[in-house]
Amino acid sequence: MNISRSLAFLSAGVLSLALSTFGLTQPSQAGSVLNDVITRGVLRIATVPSNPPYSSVNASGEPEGYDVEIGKRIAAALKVKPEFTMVDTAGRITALQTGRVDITVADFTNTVERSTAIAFTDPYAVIGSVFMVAKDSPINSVEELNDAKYKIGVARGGTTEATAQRVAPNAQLVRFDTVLDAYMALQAGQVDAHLQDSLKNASFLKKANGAMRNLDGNFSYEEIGIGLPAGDFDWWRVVNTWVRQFNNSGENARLFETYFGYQMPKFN
Amino acid sequence: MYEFNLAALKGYIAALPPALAATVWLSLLAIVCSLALGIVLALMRTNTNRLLRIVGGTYVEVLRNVPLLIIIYLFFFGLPAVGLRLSGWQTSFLALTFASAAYMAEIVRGGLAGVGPGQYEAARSQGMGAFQLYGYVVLPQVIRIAYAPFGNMCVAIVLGSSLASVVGVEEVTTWMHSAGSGSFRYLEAFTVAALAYVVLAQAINGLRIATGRWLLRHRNPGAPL
Repeated sequence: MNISRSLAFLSAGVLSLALSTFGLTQPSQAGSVLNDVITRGVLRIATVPSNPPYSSVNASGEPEGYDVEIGKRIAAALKVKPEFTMVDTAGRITALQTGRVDITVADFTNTVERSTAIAFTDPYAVIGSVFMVAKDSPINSVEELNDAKYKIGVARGGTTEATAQRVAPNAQLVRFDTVLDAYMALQAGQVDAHLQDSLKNASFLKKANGAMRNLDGNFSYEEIGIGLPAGDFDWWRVVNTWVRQFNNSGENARLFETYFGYQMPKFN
Repeated sequence: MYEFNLAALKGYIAALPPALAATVWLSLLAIVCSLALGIVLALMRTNTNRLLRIVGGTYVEVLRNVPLLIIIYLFFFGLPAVGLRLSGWQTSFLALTFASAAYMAEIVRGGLAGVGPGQYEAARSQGMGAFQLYGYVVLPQVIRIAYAPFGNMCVAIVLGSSLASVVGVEEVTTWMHSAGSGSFRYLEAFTVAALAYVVLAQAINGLRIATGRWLLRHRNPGAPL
């Protein structure tokens, strides 16, 4: 067989493989995510890898965390198996838009702007944002931080980016791929402050053992919900029912305390 | 159904030219500096002095076997522990330069190896000094042999500069993330960024070929580059 024929077969093979995988990721007709999940027997869940204690990847490569546990419990309630896909901050939305996953549980803030592209359940947590600085930092308030010579580290594409710009517009914003990278930058002294989810903050401060402290003030009100593909009311109805019962039965408070190490503040 | 619509990125296109400029600047600077360092390393590796050969060889072997992302992490997050705090841009530039210099060293060494010892003897027998020997005999042959692999390395440096986004440098990949998360049209942002890199890599490649033609302008016209 000569070279050009082999190449023709090879490219035909690659092309058909590419087209078939493209077909697999096409979302089915709107309104049937629930049917697909039950038929498939698998709940596909997107989460982010470097956001403990919400979600992280342990040493054996398994996802673990508060959000991961929520995903597993929803799958159990639907009597299907959970399957996790790791995405980055941007991927939380893209994965839903392109039908790659059925839900996204990833410290995901419900904003009106995002709601125009995807759907959210009622909140299972409500957070604010606090600034964390090194213990011996010369900065004592947000007014002092709002200065062009200071750098604030944030995770790219999340709500902390917008909040930091709103609260301290003069400071330089340094964007990192993950929350952990931004926190590492604060530890290494590469940035002067790190804007963080207020619920994570308490557990990070405990782990930092006094090396870090907060600036006064809580700078946002954010409802954390589960992201769903837009346009499917039946799917939303089912997952939202789970979220409501998860909150009201006290199961949420117990799970939170397991992963965050303190009692969850009441939010509803 | 997801509808691909490039017009959704309209508000973010204005921020693209500065990002392109930042990528071009970082890449060109890294290309020039890593080539210079690569030449030094190649000369070290082919030197008669054994210590120089060992140092050069170790540098090349180590830096060719560590991923660029890890080098960037080491410089940005690790160096402050020993007191050296580099900015995101400085980290990316140094990491890109040091990593690429290892590959440049091998490219230059391959070029040098292609110039037979007979050339040196013939040039010396004609009474050429070192400047004439290297300027008229050795370097043109090295350039001809090494120019294609050098071109590959230039493209690799342009693409490798996208890792600068991990430490917050405002270049094309950072633009892609900002435009995508701002407009929720990630697929469009990814596509535009990919096209931007294709255009930039081709532009730098074109620059390399034009420079090569100018450097070898006195050679026979049919010589391929």
